[in-house]
Amino acid sequence: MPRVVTIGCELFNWIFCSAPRIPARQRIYKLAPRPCGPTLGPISFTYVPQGKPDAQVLQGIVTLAYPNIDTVYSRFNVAAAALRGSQFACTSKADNGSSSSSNSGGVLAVTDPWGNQFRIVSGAADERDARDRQPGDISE
Amino acid sequence: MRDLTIYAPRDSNLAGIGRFYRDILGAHVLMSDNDNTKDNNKDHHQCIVTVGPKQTLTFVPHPDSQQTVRHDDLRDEQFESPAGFPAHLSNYGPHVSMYVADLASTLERADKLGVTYVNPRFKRRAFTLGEARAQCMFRCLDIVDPAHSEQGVILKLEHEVRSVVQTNGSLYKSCPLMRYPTLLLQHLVKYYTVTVVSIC
Repeated sequence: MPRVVTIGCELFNWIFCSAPRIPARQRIYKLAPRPCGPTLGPISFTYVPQGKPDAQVLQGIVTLAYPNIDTVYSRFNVAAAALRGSQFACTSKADNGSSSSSNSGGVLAVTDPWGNQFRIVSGAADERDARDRQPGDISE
Repeated sequence: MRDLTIYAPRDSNLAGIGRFYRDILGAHVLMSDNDNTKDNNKDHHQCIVTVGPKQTLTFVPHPDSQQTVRHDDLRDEQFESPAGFPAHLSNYGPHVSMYVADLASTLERADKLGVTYVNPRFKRRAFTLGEARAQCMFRCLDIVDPAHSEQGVILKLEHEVRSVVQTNGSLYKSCPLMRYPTLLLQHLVKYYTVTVVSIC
């Protein structure tokens, strides 16, 4: 399980963002590789699945909008094998909630390796927060 | 991030949660329980708070009625508060961070309601307005209905309430907004808070 936790943090940043986007966050990874800090546009969320003693799990759902969830879905599929043995799960659903083999136009219900719940949805082009973005490489 | 949904215990006073965000933190409430229809219309049993131009913070009852809902993890680490200030337990539960346009007035309202909090596990500890200004932040833990504070705490969820700017007028180092000041930005910040969700 510790191996999964460590790998899971790195994978989850890759899944969410393709790459870490804040230099400070990259420094954190070097000092302590476990905290996760995906940065999405001007919004970031950080979690420390290491926990004391257990990983923190939010009782709720984080909804993330992406311009193309197919790309995200493909990354989830790649990560699934490495995260086997953890709570990681990704289910594609149609907008009406029914399970679907195709994620186009639908919703991804994701459980991270520690049990946090995410909804990945398709966002409109104008949904991106125009106020600004975090420094760093643009991922998606 | 389009939305952060926080589960609340069944039969929580969601209208009161909405009033907390509206009256204390200065957010706009898109939808919340109407006190009169709360028990009759399940579709309305939620509280949706606008925390950005395209972002909401939602409170709903936990879908599993048997599940205990708890967002705090309080531990006594023998922290001694400065003289004249109450002792606080360390919270290892998740916290929600958000930026407000006017930190001082927000702190004043939170303090008046009695919900300010210092988490000893963090180095930055704001017991006073001066400390909050210097550190660009303060915390609160209890969500209380400002219209019915006598009913007590609705939900314990730690908030780190941040200022966009430092006392010298420069942008706070962790603020996600990169351009400041501009009239447009000031306008947006005035009417919307920016939420940074932290689970740490």
